[in-house]
Amino acid sequence: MAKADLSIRLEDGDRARLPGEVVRGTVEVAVNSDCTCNGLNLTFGWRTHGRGNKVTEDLHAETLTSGTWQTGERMTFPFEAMVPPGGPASYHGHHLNVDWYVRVTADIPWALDPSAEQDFLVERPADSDIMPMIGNGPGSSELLALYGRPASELSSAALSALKDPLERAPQDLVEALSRPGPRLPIFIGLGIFVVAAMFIGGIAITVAPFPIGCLVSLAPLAMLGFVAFMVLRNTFAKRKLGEVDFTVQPEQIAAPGDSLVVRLAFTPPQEVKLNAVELRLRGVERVVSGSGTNRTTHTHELCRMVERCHAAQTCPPGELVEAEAVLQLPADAPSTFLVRDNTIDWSIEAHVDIPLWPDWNATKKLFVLPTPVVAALRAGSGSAASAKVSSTPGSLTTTEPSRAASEPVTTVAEPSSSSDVTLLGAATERLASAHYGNDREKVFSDLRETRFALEIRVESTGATSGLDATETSRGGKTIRGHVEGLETAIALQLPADCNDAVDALGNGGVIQVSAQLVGWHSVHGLPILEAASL
Amino acid sequence: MAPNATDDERRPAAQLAFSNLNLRRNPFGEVPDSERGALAVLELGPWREFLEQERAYLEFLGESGRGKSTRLHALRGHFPEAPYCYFPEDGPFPTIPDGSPVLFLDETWRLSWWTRRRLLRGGARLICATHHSHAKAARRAGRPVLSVTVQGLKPELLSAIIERRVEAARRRPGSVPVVPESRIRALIAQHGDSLRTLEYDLYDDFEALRRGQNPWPRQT
Repeated sequence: MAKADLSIRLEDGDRARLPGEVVRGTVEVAVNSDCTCNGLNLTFGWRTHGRGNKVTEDLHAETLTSGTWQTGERMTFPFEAMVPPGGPASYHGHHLNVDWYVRVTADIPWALDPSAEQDFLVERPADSDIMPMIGNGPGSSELLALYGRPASELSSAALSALKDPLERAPQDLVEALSRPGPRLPIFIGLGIFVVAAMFIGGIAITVAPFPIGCLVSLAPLAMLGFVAFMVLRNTFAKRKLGEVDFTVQPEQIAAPGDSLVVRLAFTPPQEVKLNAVELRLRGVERVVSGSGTNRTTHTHELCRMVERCHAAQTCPPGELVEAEAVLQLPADAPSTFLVRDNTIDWSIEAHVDIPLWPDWNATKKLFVLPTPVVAALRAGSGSAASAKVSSTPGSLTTTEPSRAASEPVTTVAEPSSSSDVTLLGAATERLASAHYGNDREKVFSDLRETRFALEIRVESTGATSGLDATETSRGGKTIRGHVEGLETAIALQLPADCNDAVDALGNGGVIQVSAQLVGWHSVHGLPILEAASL
Repeated sequence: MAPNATDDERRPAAQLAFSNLNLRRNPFGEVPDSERGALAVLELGPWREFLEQERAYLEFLGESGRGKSTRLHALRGHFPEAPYCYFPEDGPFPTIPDGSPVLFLDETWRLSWWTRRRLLRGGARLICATHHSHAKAARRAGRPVLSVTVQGLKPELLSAIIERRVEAARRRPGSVPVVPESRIRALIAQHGDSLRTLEYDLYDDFEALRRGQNPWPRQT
C-alpha cells in the first residue's frame, strides 16, 4: 500500500474549459502511514497521447506542501492555474490526441511516490479569433509571439511568421538535397563521394571474384544515381514542361470549409505527352513512435481529395497548358498542429505524370486555422476573403498564343433572355451542389429539350478537350465567357466547322447563341453548353 | 469531391478521451520507456536475487519488440539511482558514468569491442539488453553470468499484459473492455512473440471500440 493516497477534484467537474480560463480545484491527501514528504508537487499542462511518442508541456508547476505526515491525516490543498489563451484545444483523433491534465505527485523518500492525475477538456469558442497554439519546435520562435493574441490585432507580418515550427536541419543527404537552396557544398561532397567510390570500385574489380567485384563497384554509382534522380527529377521534368507555375489561392492559410483554387500552368518548349495532371488536398495525422531503429511513423489520412485534371493527351509546343481545380476543405477540418512526433499537417500537392520521363511534383504547406482567425488575418493583410474560381482557361485546355484581333466580333446586342439566365443559374446551383452522379444526370435529363438564348462575353478560346467533347463538338473549340446575371463562367462548345469563326473572336467580344446544357466541369465548377453554330 | 475520411473519424472533442470505455486513453498507445517497467508482467524475484552478487552480469537477449527493454525498465524500479544508457543505431552514444555500482545498458551489442571489454572488466553490476550475447566475454572477465533469452509468448501471459495495460488506463471503478481469448490467440498466431506489432493491432481494436464498433465480432 502506498504511504498516502492522492486525489484531485476540479471545480465544475467535467465541464469543458475555455482558453484563457482559470482552472481551480483541490488536491486531497489521505495518509496511510507515517512518512516524510519532500514535496507534494503539482503540474498543470497539456499532453499528446495515442500512437506517437508522448509530448508534454507543463505550463504551471508548484509545490503545494512538504513535511512530515502522520497516519490517518487528511489534508486538502487548493490550486489554480490558467489555460493559456492560445490553448491548444483538446483534440481526439485516430493516432493523435491532445488533452489537458492536472497531476500531483508526493516525493516520499525510499518509497513508491503516490500520484494522481485528472484530465479535462479545453474547447475553443466557435467565434474566437484568438490565434491558437499550432506548434512548438526549433523553428517556432516567431510563432510564439502570435499565440494567444487576437488575430485582428496581428498585422500582415503575422502571415510571414507562419512557418513550420518543426523545420530543422536535414536529417540525411536525401532530405538535404530535396530542399531548395544552395547545393554547391552538397554537390562537392557528392563529387568526392563519386571519386572515392570509383577508386574503391576499381580495387574491388581487381581483387574480388566476378561478379562480386562488379556489384561492389557499381553499387555506389547506383546509389548516386538514385540520389541524383530524387534531387533533380523536377529539373528533368522542366525540360519537357518548361517553368511550372503552381499557385494556391488563398495561399498559406485556410479555414475549414474554404474552397482552394489550385492552379498549375506551364508552356512546354516542345511537344510533350502527359499521362495525367493531379492536384491533391491532403490532411494527415502523422505521429512517430519509438526511437532509434524502432522509430516508426504512423499516418492516418484525415482528408484526401484528388482532382485528376485530365487523361492522357499531347500538348503542342508553345501553347499554355493550365490545370485548375477547386478543392474544398472539410467543414470540420482540424487545425494544423505541429509538435515533435505528433502532427496534423495539411498540404496541397501537384503531380504531372510524364510518360517515360521523371514526373514533376511539388507540395505547398497549408496552415488550417479556425474560421474567425483566418478571416481576421486576411482582413489584416488585405488578401481575398475567399477563393474564387479563376476565369482563365483551366485544365485540359490549351490556349493558343494570343493574336491581335482586328475587331472584337459583336453580334446583335440583344441581352440574354432573363428567364433563360435564371433557369441556367438554377441548374448551375443544382449541379454545383450535387454529390452523386445521378443528381447531375437528372439535371441534364430535365433540361434535355431546353435551348438557352444567351449573350456571352468572350474571355478566352481554346481547343475542346477529348474528355469534354460530345459527338457534335469533337475537334471543335470551346469558348469561356460570362453571361450577365450568371455568377459563374460558362464553357460553350462548338463544332469543328465553327473553328474559323471562333478563331476570329477576340477577348471581350460578345456573341449570341442558342445552346443546350450538356455537361458540368467539376474541375472548374462551371456548366458546359453546346451550340450547333455561332 | 467529398473528402474520404468518415464522419466517425472526425469527432469533435466533446467528451473526455475514451470516457465511453471508462478509460483515460488508449491502453496500447505509445508508452514512454520510463513507464513501461511498471506495466510489465514479470517475475523479477530470481533476477533480483542474482543481482545481489558482486559484479553480476545479467543480459536479456532477443530480437526487437520482444520485451528486452521492458525488462530493463522493470528492474530499474528496484535500483532507482542506477544510470540507464541507451545506445541508438544512429548515435551519438551517451557517456557511461563511472563509479555507479549498477548500470543499465540498452543495446550493448552496438558498443565497440573495447568499450564492452572495459565495462565487463569493471566492478559494476551490469544489466544489459542486447541482440548478441556477451556471456562468454563476461565469464572470461570473471563475472557471474545469467543470460535470459526473451522469446515466446503464451496466451496466459499476453492476457495478463493486456489486463495490466487496460487497468493502467482505467478512468474510474466499473467495467472496462476485456479482450476475448479468441482474439488473444489470433494475435499470437499472427504476430508470434513480437509484442510491439501485437500492440499496434490492439491499438486499432480499442480505437474501433471508442468509435462504437465491435472489433471482436464473435464475442457478445
